[in-house]
Amino acid sequence: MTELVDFLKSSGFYNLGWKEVVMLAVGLGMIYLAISKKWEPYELLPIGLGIVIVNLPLSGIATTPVEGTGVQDAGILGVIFHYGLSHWNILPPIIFIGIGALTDFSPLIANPKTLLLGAAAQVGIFVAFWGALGITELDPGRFSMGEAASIGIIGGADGPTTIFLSAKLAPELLGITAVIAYTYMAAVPFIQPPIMKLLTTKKERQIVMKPTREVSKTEKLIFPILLMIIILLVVPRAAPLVAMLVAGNLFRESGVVPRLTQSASNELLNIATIFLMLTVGTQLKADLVFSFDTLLILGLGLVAFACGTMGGILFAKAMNLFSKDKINPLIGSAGVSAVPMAARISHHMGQKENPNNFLLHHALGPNVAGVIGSAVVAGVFISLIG
Amino acid sequence: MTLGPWCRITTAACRTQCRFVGGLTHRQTGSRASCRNRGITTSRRSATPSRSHAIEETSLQQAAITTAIGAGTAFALLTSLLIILLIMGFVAVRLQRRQAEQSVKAELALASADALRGAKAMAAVVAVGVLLSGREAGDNKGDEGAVS
Repeated sequence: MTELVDFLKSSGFYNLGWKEVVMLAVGLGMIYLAISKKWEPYELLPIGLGIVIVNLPLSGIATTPVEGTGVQDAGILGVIFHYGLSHWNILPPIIFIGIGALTDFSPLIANPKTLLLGAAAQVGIFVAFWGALGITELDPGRFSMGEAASIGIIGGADGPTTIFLSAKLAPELLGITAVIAYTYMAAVPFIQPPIMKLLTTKKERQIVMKPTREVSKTEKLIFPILLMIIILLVVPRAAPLVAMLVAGNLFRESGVVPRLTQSASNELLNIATIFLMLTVGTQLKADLVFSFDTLLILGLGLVAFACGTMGGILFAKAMNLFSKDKINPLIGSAGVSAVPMAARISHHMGQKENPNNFLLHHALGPNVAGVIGSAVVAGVFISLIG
Repeated sequence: MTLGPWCRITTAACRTQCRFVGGLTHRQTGSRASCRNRGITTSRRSATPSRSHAIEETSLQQAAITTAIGAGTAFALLTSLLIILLIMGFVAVRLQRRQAEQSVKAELALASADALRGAKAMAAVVAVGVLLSGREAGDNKGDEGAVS
């Protein structure tokens, strides 16, 4: 009888609390949204699964390895987290190789002005950074500088960059910041349009932009190399992200290594995504999520997204004051990264006002610039705070 | 299970130790590293400085510097890339235009060469035609003589 009681006590059911039950519901909800609504399925499905796995008590699958001991009791996802993120932090740069292999810099090269929109949209990062510090002023000890930076980078709307920075500066917030970043990226169709409408007039939304020029292969080859050299000379700590992005892009644009391009944009990206997202999900243990901090980060993340969107739109409007060729301010919102969702939103909003307006190609410029901008800001944060 | 309000070991070591001791997490404030068990109240709150000094002045300064450098660097780098792209675009457009002009010239030269060749061929055809008709005329003359 005692054995039976002991066995029951060692079961998951006995150790299941209400917090775990709620987290299981959250995980299953994410899986549902990914499958039925197709909301960022490549992220939300494995993250949701990771949440379910880690909140089933006593599975030990996310137990991290202990240094210096021979026999290990670590779980597979704990090992991946330890070596892939917190210890070596290699998974986000690997994802960036794949992103590079999928990225086309042509819209940016053809219309370089859009780089500034990508820069302006980074304002959300700093607003959330100061927001977190402001909360710490009101409630002492709430967030450290590193944690404030990790919260701020959510405004970059770039999942791998958020994970990369959080793993370096605030590993304890890694799961929360990553999930919030991906959740808001999935919710871009709901967050951005009201702000875009609020900040632009109908006439501005109807602006038709001139078709961009054709970009030569030489330009596509030279630009990423120059981009890497310049950024790494100024912010060497951004190297893991920027160098990998450029490597993937060079594979693609050179046209001489189709197998590498194929591997980077498919196999490598997919394998890294599986490991990264499952592992991120396992960082959302019930004890960690049910805290006031999480609610605050959720709020600050939303502020970061909203301010980034505003920054891009308002800067586009400001550029129109001085520019001969008018920019449709709707493309400014794409500066928050969230590739390519944010660019699509700009395009759809433009087409609603004028069905003959095709903004997608133009919006991809600030979109890609946003990726570069947030990687630069992450590098600066790591240099100064890390 | 507490490591005390302030961890006096280095950040990396603190992080490692925190992770392995009952899932404790660490926080880093400025140059000091602190550890606390998230979700469980520790003595840290009581040890925190007074409200007016919630964020130390040095930390505020560091945050301001970080913001200035971060935003400034992002803008400066993207602006320098913008300038590079403008120069690259200018050169590329000029090169494209020159190439286009050269190809038009080459096409024109080719077309005029073709026209010359065509004219020569036509002249040859005409010449052959004239010669043949002359010979035929001669033959016809002979025939006519024979008949008459």
